[in-house]
Amino acid sequence: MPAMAEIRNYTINFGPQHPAAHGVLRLVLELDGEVIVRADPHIGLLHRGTEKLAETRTWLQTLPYLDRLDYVSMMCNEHAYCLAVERLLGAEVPLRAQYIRVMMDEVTRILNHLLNIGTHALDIGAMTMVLYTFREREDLMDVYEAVSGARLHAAYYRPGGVYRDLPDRMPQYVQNKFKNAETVKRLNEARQGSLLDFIEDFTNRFPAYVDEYETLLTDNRIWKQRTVGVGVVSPERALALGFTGPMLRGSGVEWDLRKKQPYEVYDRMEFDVPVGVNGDCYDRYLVRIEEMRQANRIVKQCIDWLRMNPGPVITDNHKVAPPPREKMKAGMEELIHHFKLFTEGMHVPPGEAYAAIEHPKGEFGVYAISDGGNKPYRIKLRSPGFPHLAATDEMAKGHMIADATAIIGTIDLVLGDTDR
Amino acid sequence: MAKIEIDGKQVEIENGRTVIEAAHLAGIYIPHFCYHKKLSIAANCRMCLVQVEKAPKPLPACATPVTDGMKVFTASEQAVKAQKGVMEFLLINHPLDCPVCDKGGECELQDLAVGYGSSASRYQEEKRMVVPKEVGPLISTKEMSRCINCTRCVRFGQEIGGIMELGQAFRGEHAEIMSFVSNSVDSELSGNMIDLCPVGALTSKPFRFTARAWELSHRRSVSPHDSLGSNLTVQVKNNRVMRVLPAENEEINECWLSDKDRFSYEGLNSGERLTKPMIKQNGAWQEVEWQAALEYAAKGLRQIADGAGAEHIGALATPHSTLEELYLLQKLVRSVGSDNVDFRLRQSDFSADGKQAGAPWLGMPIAEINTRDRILLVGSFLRKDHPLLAHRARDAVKKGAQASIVHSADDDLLMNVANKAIVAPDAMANVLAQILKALAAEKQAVVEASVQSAEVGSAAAAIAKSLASGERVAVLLGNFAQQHPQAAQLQVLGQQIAALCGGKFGFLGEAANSVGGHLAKALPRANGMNAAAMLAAPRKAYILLNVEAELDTHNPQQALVAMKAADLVVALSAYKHQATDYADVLLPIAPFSETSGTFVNTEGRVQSFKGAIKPLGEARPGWKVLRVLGNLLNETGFEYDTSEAVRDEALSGVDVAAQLNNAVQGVALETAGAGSGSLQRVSDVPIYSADAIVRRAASLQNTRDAEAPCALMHGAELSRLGVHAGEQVKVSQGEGSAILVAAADDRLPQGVVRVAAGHAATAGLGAMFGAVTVEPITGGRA
Amino acid sequence: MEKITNFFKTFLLFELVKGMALTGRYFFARKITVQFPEEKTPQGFRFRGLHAQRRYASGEERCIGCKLCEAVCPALAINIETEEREDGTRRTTRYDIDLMKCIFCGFCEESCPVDAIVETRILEYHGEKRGDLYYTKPMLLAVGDKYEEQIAKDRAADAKYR
Repeated sequence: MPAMAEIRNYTINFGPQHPAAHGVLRLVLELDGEVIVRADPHIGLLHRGTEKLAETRTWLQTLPYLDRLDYVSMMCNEHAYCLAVERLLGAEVPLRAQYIRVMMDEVTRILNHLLNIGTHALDIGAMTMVLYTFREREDLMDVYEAVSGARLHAAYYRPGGVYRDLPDRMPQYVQNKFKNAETVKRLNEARQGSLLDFIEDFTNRFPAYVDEYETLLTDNRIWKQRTVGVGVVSPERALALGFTGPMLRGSGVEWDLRKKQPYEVYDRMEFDVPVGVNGDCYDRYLVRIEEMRQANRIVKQCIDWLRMNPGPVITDNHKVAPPPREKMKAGMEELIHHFKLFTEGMHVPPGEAYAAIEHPKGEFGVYAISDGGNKPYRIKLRSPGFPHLAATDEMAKGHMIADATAIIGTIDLVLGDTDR
Repeated sequence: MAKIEIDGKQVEIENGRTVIEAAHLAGIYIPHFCYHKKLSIAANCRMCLVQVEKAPKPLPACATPVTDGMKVFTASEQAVKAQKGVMEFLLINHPLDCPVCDKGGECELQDLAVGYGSSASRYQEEKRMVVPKEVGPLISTKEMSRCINCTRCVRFGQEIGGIMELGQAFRGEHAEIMSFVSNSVDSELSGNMIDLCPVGALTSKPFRFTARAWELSHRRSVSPHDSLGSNLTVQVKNNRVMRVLPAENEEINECWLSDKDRFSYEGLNSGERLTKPMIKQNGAWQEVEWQAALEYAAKGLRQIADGAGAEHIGALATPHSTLEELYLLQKLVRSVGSDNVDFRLRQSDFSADGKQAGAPWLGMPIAEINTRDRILLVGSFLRKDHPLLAHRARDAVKKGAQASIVHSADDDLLMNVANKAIVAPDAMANVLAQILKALAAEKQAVVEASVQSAEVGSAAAAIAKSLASGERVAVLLGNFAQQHPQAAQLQVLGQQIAALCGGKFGFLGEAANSVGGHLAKALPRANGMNAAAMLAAPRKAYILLNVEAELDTHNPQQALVAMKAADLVVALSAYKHQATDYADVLLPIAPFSETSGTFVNTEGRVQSFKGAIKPLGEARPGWKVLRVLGNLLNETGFEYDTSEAVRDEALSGVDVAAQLNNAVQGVALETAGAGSGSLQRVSDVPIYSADAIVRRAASLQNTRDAEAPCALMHGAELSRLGVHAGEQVKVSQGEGSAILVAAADDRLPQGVVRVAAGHAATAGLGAMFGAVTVEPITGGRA
Repeated sequence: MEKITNFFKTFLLFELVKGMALTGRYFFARKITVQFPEEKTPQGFRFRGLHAQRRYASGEERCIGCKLCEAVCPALAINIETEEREDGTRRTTRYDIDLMKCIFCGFCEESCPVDAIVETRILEYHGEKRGDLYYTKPMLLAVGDKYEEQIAKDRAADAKYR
């Protein structure tokens, strides 16, 4: 009897070096021809043991590690951590700090979505998008740097407030052999005033930019062909799979922590929560586009308030936050508190606290347990990307291999966040 | 018993105790600075203010006795407000020194300021300044402005150290802690003041600025110096011992530590450490690999054992060596076929050998010293040899005990001594016989004829009377008595005195492992030679374990001659020392901090410890070196993997408690003479010369206790010789002599000259006891 | 009506043309490209770059070896050894920052009670072999000496916020 050729499904590794795999994701795809039979995401290549590290670091020392989880929405990670610690401490956060945090959170949301939409389009073949979104990201990176000193890993939020108040001037371009005085003057126009002026200028320009993105993508037939009806998740399945954020709202479930469990000053903000209809990649894209517009609205409201209301940006309880430098150098109590905070760190009362925020990617939560010591007993991080990635199989099954790229893109995956 | 309530918790505590003690019992912490459980109550820091029901104002918890039904609130609004207020006042004058202060990170003031103080300062005015002081090489008092006047150090001096070296002068804002007219602090327990200081006013000079509290890992260990076996916390950074603090053990060292135990760690980091094995070839020292050095030593030993005979091999160890080292040393020597092994290097009278019922020990648990009501100390430089046992004796005296001493020197013990008989060394046995005779008379007991012949003097009679009236008597023989040429006689007499008054009899013990040496059988048992005999009749080969022959032996002169005459000297030592003159192989071994091991202290407590750090350079733990030496000699039974295995073998089948026995039988009492009348030597081993590690502890060597030895004599003796104090004299003994400065000490008996042993300056002299001559050097004013 | 427009849009590639028009407009617009390294983007006074050790105007190094930075460093990148200098002051004998470990969180600068350790604006440092980025005290002081003017200016600008 002639031996029949054995027919097996073809298995390929998508990543961890694939340019569209977003970082170090390894996706093992089982293919029947071009059709995905099974998508098996492998994670852990960016695992740094942040949760375990936190157990050997003081409460303050853990903070900069949070920046490095979702390295596209740094301040949001810090935010959840600070909220958890503050909840354990029962610490008061000055109102101005709350506004700053909300503003920076929304700036971060825009940053995150810009990256997502840009790279998502790039992955699918729309090369130009990423150039435009990164142009705007550059402005927001300057905001990050002006306020914290770092473009990415800000370490700006602190339990009890934020490290420093917003600066009252922006760094400016200087004339050089590529840019004459006139060009420099034009570039510096928005940089004449304070940081708030700069952000305000951005918020004024930004809606037009979003229109441009939509011009390029929303109606684009290729974009639609690649995204409409791809990776459909029903609202029930989205809930069952633990989706949060745009992934959940894209499926039509109206759930936003900023509305449902308002933290900081979100209850004072006017904004709308966009939801999708079909739960496919296209709807999620639309949700993100609209979220950027809404974030822009919130930033504007924060700017208005922040302009009117100067004040402290970090608690004056020096058992939680170090005193200002000038006082530290003049007062004994302040010096002792400064010394102890930076060596031993603060002792957090025993207890447990969970704090979650509406992270650009979904619900980012920090569950902290303190045994009363100067280090966390245990920190558990709920990263939004993890359940989203876990649903890859369900979303990709039956699609063509090229759709895997669209699905990974729509998940808004950052492995630093998933692997922790 | 009083029932009180603290923060809603019921506590029952006996009347007369204080609220702070009751709170401690209930597990409630009340902030405090001046209160310390071992010191008297001063109530001057006011930090422990608490609210007491029905009291109109907050009361200091440390000074408020409990009363039945009392209700105390330690965290009520009133209490917290009071504590906050007190903290603010304490910080008003505190300088902004935290960043440069050594106490930073382990400072009680910092901790309580964060825990109980306000978080912002309101004080704007000038802070007070206190002029820096200088009180010696161990304690830094450069920053006395940091002092919060809790007076713990002052009370420590008065109550524990026995001498008030620091005191508080002036009043109010001008109050400051200082020594009396710029005296230095010389107490051998002074380091404890550093521990007690709740702020950074008293800090450790050797440790100064070298590390922060949070960088140090803490390792438990046991002191290798005196026989107490104090528990240590060795603090380590980067494989280096940075400092040593006490580990609390109520039964041994309480929470204290003698300066010797505390500061000797500097010797561990000394530049003199031996870090590579060395052998001498053609008169020149060469660094070699371990294998080569060990093979060289093994070959040499084997040649001598096979050629001249194993009895030509002798092994000497210091009693500071660990139980494991001593056990393996004796096992090695015995397996080669020799019985010549000993650790009692400073002993001179071995006539009790073989007649001892067990290992000489303290005769009671250490903590029992505090409860004695009569203490007879025979031949002991107690304060310097056993600083913390002295503190316990001091405590007993404070509680009403009568202390009596029989000795050849009358150093101040910093306690009330009821009676003393200070006589020349050769008259000590006679004095004890007198006491025994008088005591027998009191107790209507019969004594031997040799005792009967003694004529009871007034001092002896007084001592006997004191002892007879006691209920809990202790007769303790010190190092001097053990090193005495008539040690066996003193032992028998002491034992009989103790027996007559139903008391305890014991030896204070010379070193960390004096009892352990007996348990390890590191002494001749059959036909072997003891330490003195081995040196008197030079052997062809010596194995030296931690021994520096010219400093650690009873007769350095003789020891050096014996070493130089030997064909092979294998020296296991942590240090390069004078052995380079006479040794042939130098094997670097690890001191206590770098090896695991066991010390058996004077009360028979077996304390094992682990190495705190890795051995320096190529040094290796002594037990490993001896084990491999045993392998290379092709002897069986040297297959140990751990020091615990060695210890377990050494102690297997040994009931340590049963082994401890001071009884001696078959030593005939001789009729003790009243002294020869010729000039004799009295020698102490100065506190900071007693072993190899302290001898290299730089800061300790700068203390007053480590000053170069003098020839101390009674004033009358000086004038008889025609010398004045401060002049140089030549002290001769046997064939050697030393040029020393003469000094007067009228508390010494006449007919003796006190010359310290264990010091390089006196290493040329002979035995620690015996006749010496002193002649003035003309025109030799120092 | 919508059906009709959609019908025309379908084969007229209307939205594609619109997109091309957008890119075409930017094709002729002024470029925003920054020619690094010849020119650089603006840098704020809070920038956290390469570390430096500062001195007082007298030339005396500021660092007093208090080790707060070593203690607070989350990455354990700082290694300090101290001793008493001859004049009795507390000084470092070793002050190393392993830039390979450093996460540039700025806590060292924040904790320093004497403004000795600072993070400068320098971001283009590099190392060519292993160990090059292990900065020792002389290297840090050299950075500080070279850029002191800028460092002081930045601290002054930020002083009111800290």
